[in-house]
Amino acid sequence: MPRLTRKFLGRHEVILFLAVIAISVIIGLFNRAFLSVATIFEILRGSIPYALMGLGILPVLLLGEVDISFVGVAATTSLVAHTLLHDFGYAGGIGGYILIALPLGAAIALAVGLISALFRLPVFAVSLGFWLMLYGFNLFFISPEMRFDLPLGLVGFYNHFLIKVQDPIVGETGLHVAVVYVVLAAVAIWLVLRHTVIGRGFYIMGGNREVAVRTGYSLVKLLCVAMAVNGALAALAGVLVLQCAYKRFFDPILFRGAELYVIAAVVIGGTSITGGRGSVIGVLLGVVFVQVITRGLIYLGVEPTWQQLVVGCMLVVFFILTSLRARLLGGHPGRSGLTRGEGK
Amino acid sequence: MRIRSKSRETRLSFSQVGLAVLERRSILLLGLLVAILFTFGTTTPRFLSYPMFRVITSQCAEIGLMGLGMGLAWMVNGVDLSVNDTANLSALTAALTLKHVSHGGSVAVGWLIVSYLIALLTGLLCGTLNGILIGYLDVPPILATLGGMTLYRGISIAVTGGRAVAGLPAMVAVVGRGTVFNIPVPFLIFLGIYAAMYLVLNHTAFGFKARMVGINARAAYFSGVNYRRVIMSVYMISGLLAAAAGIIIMGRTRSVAYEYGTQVYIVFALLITNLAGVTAGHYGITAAVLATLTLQILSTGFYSRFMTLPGGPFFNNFLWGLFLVAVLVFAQLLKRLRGKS
Repeated sequence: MPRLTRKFLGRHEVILFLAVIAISVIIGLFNRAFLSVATIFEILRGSIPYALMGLGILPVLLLGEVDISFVGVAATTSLVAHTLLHDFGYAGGIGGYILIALPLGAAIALAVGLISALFRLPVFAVSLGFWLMLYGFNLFFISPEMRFDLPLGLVGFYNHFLIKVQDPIVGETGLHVAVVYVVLAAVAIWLVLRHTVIGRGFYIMGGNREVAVRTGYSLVKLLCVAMAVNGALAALAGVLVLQCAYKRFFDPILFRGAELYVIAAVVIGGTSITGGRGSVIGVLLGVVFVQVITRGLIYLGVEPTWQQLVVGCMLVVFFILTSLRARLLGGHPGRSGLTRGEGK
Repeated sequence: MRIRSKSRETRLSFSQVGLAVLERRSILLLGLLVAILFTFGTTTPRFLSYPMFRVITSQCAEIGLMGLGMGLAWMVNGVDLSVNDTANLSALTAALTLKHVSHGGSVAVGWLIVSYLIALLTGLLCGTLNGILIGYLDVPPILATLGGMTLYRGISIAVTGGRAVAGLPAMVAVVGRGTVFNIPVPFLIFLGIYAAMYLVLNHTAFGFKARMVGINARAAYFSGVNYRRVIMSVYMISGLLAAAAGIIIMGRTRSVAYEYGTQVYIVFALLITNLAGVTAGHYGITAAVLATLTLQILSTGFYSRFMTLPGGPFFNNFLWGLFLVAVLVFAQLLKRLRGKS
């Protein structure tokens, strides 16, 4: 029993879950309003887009690459979908948006993946170029202004709940229906990563490229799959956030700067910073963790201008802790600083 | 058989001449520079004039200094994404010091120097944190400096509440807008730092060690080089250079804002590094300076071209993103071409 307990408590996800609870309780001690059902649902609602983007970036990080263009993909696809649908006089719901945005997002991200894979460039550098390009494209070619002209079918989507509760302060609130998309995406990614040959490939490729290539995996293929999934989920987050979270308009600079929060959440969720380790549950918990902290700060009366500082501190502290832990556990020999760059 | 091999030889030597030109990155860049100057000179009125020269040379220092730091990191298989935010944070510390000690818009020269030293110290500290994370804790450079970037920008936002710090004493403008013999001071600073970097990289033990670590850290380790310390020093220098860039920005704009340049300056720094052809263990610093000038002329040319358009700055950003991807691909193709022959 003690061995099992220790194994259970040693898991990163369990520690993170306990940390989320502990931090929530501490914030609740200072401000009782934080510990309410409405807050839980608000945090979940705010987590939806970040969770989708985090799940998307997970396979990319597993390969040991970093992408930041996904936020631009989300902005461009949602804006393009809206412009197209609006011109055709579309009055339906979210389905039409998803139908256009999802393939478009996958295609743009696939382009990033293909360019980096074929020319052996770091994904990060290419994605930085695309990041700038996509936001420039939105602002110059589509619309420099926010678009409030929503179709009739989307009106009321903001208050579409799965579970409804009455809160004394905010009134009727609940679990937003968009959470279904997160659950579907999480289950799908978990199944692929856990039970398919290609899914295991992400872990092997991130753990040791040489071994993976000799086993018969192709980096080009894996990277393309990872980036396509990344783009598709980012596009989904882009169309959903407008309706389920804070915004009720289409924004040419949607999520600009949010890439740091997403990467921070995924890394805090236990995804190895060198690739090869990470889990779906970890990503979801990491996203909730960042949401609890950033929202909790507001409940504690801290100015929102301090949020980025706190996220930055968390990232740096987390880097230090994981690195020290890896050193204590005697890390993987292939990960020591000496081999840095040799596989590049 | 004999003939075939001979023809191959001639073909090889012919392509070798072409490659030699391509490989001399400085010559390539100089050609590019002249071509761009010619294009803008003939199409844009009053492009080849003293005011334009002054604009270009006084602006190139800030991106150039960040680019030099980025190039150093690139040379040891790393990257420093925090250069721009280090620059802004360093300038912020100097600006706050100046605000504290100045009376009615004037400040003693001593205090000005003290504030510059504080800025440099801030840059050094930022660089040290990056260096510890990358060199000693083996955090991948992209993520480590992304974390550093978030942290430094976060500090700037938290301290200023997201507002710009303006109304600095007029004396700070000397570094940003002053001229000596009609040559802008920022450009002179840039050239001075270039000379110093050239000497350090090519004529000191540290420069040699840094190049060794870039080529093969393991081999360097077995030759008795403390590669961790070398990597940390590289990021410290990068932080110092960024702080110098921040001081120049503060002088040029007479204000400090956390968001100054946050969209394009990292792209510029990466472009300089890639245009200059910096690879692991190889850093042609003259090429980096030429790349900086090329980029700045291009940037100023674009600016005078598109700023009159509605939404011009956005189109500018779009072009820079496209340009970065194109340069990355081109540099890689060049490398592949060289590898084949």
